[in-house]
Amino acid sequence: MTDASGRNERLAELLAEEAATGLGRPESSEIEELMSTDTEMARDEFMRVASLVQVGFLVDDERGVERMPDDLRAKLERQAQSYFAQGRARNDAGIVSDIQSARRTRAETATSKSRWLNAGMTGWYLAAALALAFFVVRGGPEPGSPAAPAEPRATLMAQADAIVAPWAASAAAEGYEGVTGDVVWSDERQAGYMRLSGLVANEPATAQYQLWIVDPDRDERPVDGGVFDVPAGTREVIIPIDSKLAVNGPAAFAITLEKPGGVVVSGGPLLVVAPVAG
Amino acid sequence: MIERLQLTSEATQATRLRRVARASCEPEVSDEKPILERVAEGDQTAVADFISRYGDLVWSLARRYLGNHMEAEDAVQEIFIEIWKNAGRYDRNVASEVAFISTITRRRLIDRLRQFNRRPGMESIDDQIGASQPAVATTLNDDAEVAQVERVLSDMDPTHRQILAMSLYEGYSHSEISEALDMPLGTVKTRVRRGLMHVREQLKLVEELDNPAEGSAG
Repeated sequence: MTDASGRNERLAELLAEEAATGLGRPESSEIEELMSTDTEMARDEFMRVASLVQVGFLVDDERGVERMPDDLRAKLERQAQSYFAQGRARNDAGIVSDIQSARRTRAETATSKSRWLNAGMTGWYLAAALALAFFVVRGGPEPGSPAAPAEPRATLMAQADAIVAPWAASAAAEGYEGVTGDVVWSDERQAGYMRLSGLVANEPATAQYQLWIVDPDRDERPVDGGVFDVPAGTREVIIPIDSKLAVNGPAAFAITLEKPGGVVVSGGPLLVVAPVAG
Repeated sequence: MIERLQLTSEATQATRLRRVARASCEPEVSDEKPILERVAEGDQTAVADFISRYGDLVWSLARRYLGNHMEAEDAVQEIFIEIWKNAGRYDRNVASEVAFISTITRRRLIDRLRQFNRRPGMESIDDQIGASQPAVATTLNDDAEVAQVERVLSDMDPTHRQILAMSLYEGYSHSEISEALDMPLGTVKTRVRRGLMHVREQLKLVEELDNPAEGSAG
């Protein structure tokens, strides 16, 4: 087997896997490296074929093509209206440019941010540990509404600068491995939504969850993102983010469990963290 | 998972029995402007037309891949936003609208399963009760590439076809398929890869027959 045919075989293997189940970062990087050499394969070719196969199976499925629920159809029409209203104000070229610009910026700052994140989190822990002795309980709890609909979240995702960061259990806390969901955030709108499944219900009179936003460009300490509750028996909650300060280019989001009403400085531990990918 | 596997197997059997070979996969020639182009141009009526024509397709793909009504609802909203964002990139000379839309859909569905590290969910009884509403309209039967893919799949070995269906249509990971079919993981991966390569080659062959000059030019 020649080097070239070996490379092509490996590339086909990776592209097929990408089209079937998706790939992690190391494999994606490997594809990019292999694509940089001479090859007749196009990056999207297998994905397109896999998509057509998926449609082929749907057409032949005896259960047939299903009618979309009417309420979802209505939501999509409203979201589209909102999206294109925004697009008319800022023409399509501007939106594409914004997307590319946001991607470039994130890529350029990814390395420095991840370095900051590690250092920043350590700094936060230290600051929090020192502050443990004098917790300041904030007045006027503002619980996020667990009934917040998915619709405004999806609309926010239409923002050109919207980022989506999936939650992952923190190594510092046990029992939160099953938490899933994500954070959607837009710097431009200064708005965001958390979506959470598997986070254990809290008793609001005893403790409330609190969101923290790590914004290295603003402050070493994370920004308070608001307190919220998870009612018992809830499968998934969508919570609007209530940032107390302007946030630009967040590096991560984290959740702690605090006294009712939340705290100004947290002693942690972080329960779940959503690092923003570069 | 067993119930879903049985569904796949039964659907495969039924499909094989009732499949009717298509007489032709010649693409339909139409002067009608693709809806995506109208969407990209800001045509207000195009969005509703688009959702009417392709909403059921995206919905059905999401339902089958994620296996859960709520997950599918969220995914479909994300997918449509992605479609609106990319409508301006659609080129009718490169792909059909079905191929363009289903590729965006597939990418999002894969991302979603990976992001939440979930296997496809079991449908609840309520989900199943509400599942069988007939689609109002579908343009799938008019898509030449889909027709060609159906033909290739129908000629495929049943086990191979089942592996592809579980992986590409129902969203199972290679490990889950390996476990469910009691088949080595490497064999599952190889069969998915070879299946995709086979379909790809067949589509290329048809493309070359349709456009001999382009085909011979490579």
